[in-house]
Amino acid sequence: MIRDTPLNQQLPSRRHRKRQLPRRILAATAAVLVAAGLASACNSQATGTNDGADGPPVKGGNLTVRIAQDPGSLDAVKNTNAGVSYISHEVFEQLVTIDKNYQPQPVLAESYQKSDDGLAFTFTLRQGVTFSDGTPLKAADVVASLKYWVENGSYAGSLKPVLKDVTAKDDATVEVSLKRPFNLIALMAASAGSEIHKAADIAASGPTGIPNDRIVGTGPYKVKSWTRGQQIVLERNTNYKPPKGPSSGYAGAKRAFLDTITYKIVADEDAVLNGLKTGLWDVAEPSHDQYDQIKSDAQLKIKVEAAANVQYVALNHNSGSIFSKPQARDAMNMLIDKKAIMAAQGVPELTQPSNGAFATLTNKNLYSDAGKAKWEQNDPEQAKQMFAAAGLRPDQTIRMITTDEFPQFKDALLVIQNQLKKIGIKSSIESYDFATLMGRKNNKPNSWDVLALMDDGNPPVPSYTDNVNGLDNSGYPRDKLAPLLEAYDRAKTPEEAKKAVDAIQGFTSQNLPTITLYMAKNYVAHRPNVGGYDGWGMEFADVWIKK
Amino acid sequence: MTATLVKKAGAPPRRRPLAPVASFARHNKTLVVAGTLLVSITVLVLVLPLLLTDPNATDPARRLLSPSLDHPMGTDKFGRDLFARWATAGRVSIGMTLLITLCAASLGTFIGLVAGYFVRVGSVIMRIVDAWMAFPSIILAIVFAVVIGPGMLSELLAVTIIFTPYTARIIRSRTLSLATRTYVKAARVSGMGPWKTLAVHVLPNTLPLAVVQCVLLSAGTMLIDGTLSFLGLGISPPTATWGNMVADGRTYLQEHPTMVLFPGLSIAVFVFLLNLAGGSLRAFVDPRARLLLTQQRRRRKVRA
Amino acid sequence: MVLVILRRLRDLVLVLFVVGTTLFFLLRSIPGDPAQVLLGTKASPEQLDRLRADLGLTGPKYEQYLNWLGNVVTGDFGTSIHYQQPVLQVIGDHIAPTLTLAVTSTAISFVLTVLIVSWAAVSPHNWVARFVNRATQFGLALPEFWLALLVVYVFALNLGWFPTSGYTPFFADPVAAVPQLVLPVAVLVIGQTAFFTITMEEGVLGELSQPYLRTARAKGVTERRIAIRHVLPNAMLPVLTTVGLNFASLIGGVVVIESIFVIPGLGTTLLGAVYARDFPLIQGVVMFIAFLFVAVNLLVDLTYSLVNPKVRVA
Repeated sequence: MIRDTPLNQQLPSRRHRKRQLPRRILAATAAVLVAAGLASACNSQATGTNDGADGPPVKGGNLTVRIAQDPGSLDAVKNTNAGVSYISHEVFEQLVTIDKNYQPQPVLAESYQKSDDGLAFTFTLRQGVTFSDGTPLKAADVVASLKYWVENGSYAGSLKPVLKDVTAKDDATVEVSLKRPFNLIALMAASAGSEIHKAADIAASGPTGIPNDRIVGTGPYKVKSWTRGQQIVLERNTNYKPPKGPSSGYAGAKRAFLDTITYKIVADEDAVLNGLKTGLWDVAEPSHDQYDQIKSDAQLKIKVEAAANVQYVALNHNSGSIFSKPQARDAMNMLIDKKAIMAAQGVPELTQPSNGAFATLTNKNLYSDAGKAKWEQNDPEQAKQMFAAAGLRPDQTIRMITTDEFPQFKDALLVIQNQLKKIGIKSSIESYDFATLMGRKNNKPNSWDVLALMDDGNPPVPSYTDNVNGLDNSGYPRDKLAPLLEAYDRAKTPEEAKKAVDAIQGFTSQNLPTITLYMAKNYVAHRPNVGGYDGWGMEFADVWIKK
Repeated sequence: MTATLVKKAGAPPRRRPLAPVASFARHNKTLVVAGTLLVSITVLVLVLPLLLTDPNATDPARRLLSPSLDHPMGTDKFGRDLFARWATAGRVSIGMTLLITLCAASLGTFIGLVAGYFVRVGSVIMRIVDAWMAFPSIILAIVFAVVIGPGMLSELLAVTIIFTPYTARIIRSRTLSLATRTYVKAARVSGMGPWKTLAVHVLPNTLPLAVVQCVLLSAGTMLIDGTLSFLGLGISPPTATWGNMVADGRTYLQEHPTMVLFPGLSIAVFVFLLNLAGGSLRAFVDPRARLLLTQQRRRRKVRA
Repeated sequence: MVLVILRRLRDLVLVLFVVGTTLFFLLRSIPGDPAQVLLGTKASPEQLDRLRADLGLTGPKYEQYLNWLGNVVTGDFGTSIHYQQPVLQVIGDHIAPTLTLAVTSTAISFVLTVLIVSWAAVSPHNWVARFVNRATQFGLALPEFWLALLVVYVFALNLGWFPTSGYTPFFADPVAAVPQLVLPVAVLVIGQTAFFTITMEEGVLGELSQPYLRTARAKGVTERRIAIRHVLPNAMLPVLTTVGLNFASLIGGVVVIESIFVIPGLGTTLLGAVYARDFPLIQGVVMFIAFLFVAVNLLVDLTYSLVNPKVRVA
């Protein structure tokens, strides 16, 4: 129980969603108008309605937020810890970021333009923006930051081979040129790593990132103090120059009502619950197990986040595993009762079927039904025959591994183990801490068959997902996949892109690098004194403390 | 198991046949009571699971019930009967305790014998043992849990390694004094090999001490076993142990404190009984401790 | 005397060397490395390799080892990968909470022990004294993690007397710090007092059987006077050793308490470092704890020989 959750690091709770790019110039104001229209059309507008329900915003006070571990640094490129993305979004800004509907919106860019051939993006920087130490933002800072991101960030891994260059046209213009079309804006908006630092700070970065005495950004808050292992306190950045448009997601003008935001580092999940109940902190993301309890507590409010994680089991395609054979993979898919695994979680409000897709049902651009029919197959008897046909020996054991950072992985494997047992197949489950799991997967690629993990349910682009890419070193054939991904990158209209996504989903459904099980949503619990909070992740630059 | 331990301890080699055991038991009610209770609890957790429902049978309709006649300890978040789980958890916890104790005591005895008998090698060994004791135990446990994956094997290794040096030290000092005895020297002079001397003359005389050490050790083992399970580094769910039952119940501390209370209390009571039994046994084997006990009794009698 | 201390210092270096070396190779033989933890699931093998090279984790193990050893000898324990700070600084930042817990609880336990045992020794007729003396020993059987949860349930969640968790440096804000410390210290005190009481009890009984007491009694010295003048001071000595041994192991062992009460001490830092595979930090913290263990014991032995000149530091 004292385990902190390093997996948070690997599976960022950053929300991102890919969106089809307009091919013409996109003025910031126009974009915001569109977004606002969208928002009011679909659901309640973040700040608007809450202002009413929670009374008028009040300036001042401190908000205490619980995070699971000390992030170590605020370098979102070299450090994939979830806490880094939470905090760095208050301190830094990106050229473009995602709004509450996961649509890219300009922040530090006044506007951006995509060339007709899709190979060049030109960003015009907003005038008069300064860093919190007073130095004005220059194109050189942006160039250095973007290069650093592409070079070092695992998130930008799919962009790296595509990128040609990042250059400053003048002090206020940056051009990104590509070797072939790529959905740059979606990736950039979704990745906290594309945040803009000062060029000098980038130059000072060491092996594990930008040093902590060089945390200088353009965002609404700046670091006031950082007590190692205990807390990080942010204070209002008086040099902040907000973009236009209302606050939405990470985008829009933040009003920075709070004097300070205190991030308390609390690893122990039960201490988190007790602290919420007794007011030691105002906001936290508690565990699924605690959902019912928090719901029944009149003192606490719950906001279910739009973001979701895909829970999946990866099948090992390497020759040392039975799942190198397609029949065995199909047999496994036939055997696993995905809905039973989902139901075993006991939190119906936080789970929904995945339908075999790598993106959530609500993610219109990336969700595809192409794998649904196969995903819904469930016939243990037939699975038994298929396993036999695949050459599974009666004495053979299916080796399943996972990490115990999150209990649901093992829960899922236990259900699968039970289902395997019913058709007379032996299996073993071993779970380790995250680092060991990764070490085992990468260094002993033939020592496992099934791996349970989760992935982001709102990926920026298909190639980002484990379901499409398989996991590294899992022997997944990428040569046939490459043209499909390229078709997606080349798509000019939303329809073309959708078709490409269907093709990709069809391909993964056929090859099964992973079998998706269900979607699990995060939720945030907060005390009633928190005003203006719409439950969009851990973003607090626009909330206030009620008096 | 505990019963046999008690019996063995009551029968030190040679000098005394069984008769003093009875007299000892008469004089030592603590040992008898503690021993009986330990045996009863052990038998209880061995027999109960045969009569109760499957400890892993889930029943979503009966989630998180408070203790009642149907479910004496209530149910957990999966609707599993906590009393059935408590019983099987007892099997695992007590079993693990015995297993680890046995390993640590045998290894410790062996190292202690060698270190005490072969003086030159011994001083080197004791240096290592000292360094070993300076190693934070919980770290060892974590490292093993990480390398092997949390479970029986890693826990067995880690806790054995933690406790071995303590036994080794005690047995060594006993061996040192035994090695100077005339009969041991005589054996050597008469041409008996060192290993055989150790096995024939020294080992039997350290055994009573080793047995007492076992009982005292098992108390510590049970606590560490509980802590490791609680931390998720020991035997992991769905196999229940008293330690991981406490961990499972934590989430519901405010609404269902009994989920934490019962398994933890079981550990406390069992460890307490082991300490009592170990203390009394020690008085039987260790002359100094016996002296202390008589002193205590005498004093109480005189003053009362 | 000087020679003795020198010999002990040599032993200290030996112990640190053994602990450090074992740990170095142990850590590098376990699967998973800091690069994987930092970069997450999506990192490419190439990115991982580059970060490993930057962190000095590539090349033959013995070379890495010699490098590390050379640095340690010159007092450089390296830089924590996770915290990006010198290891010694990280240890310095996290030792205060742990020391606060350890020192406070040890001091309180020691005083309590002396009071309880003395009371029982001075007035053996008093059944309350005897009962308290006995009852304390039940504390030895209470699992700390369980006790901690129970006190949180009763005193924090239900009565609301103390916060459920948290830590404030004592000197920064004593008013906030003390209530936060009460529960964790109380849990530690219960276990330690039990431990110390048993040790001191044994000392008392051992003293009581000394022949010189018979002489004293024969001369008509009262039992009370015997207890105060002779028995208790002598019985205190073994407790000192126990306190020393216990104090050092407490530093590494309070991790459960630290985690339940969210105290950013050395134990939780070490645990976090293991999960993050922060090799330099793990090595630094473990060697620091080992150092403390040996040093505190040396100190106890020295005090021992000061208090009782008959005992020589061996």
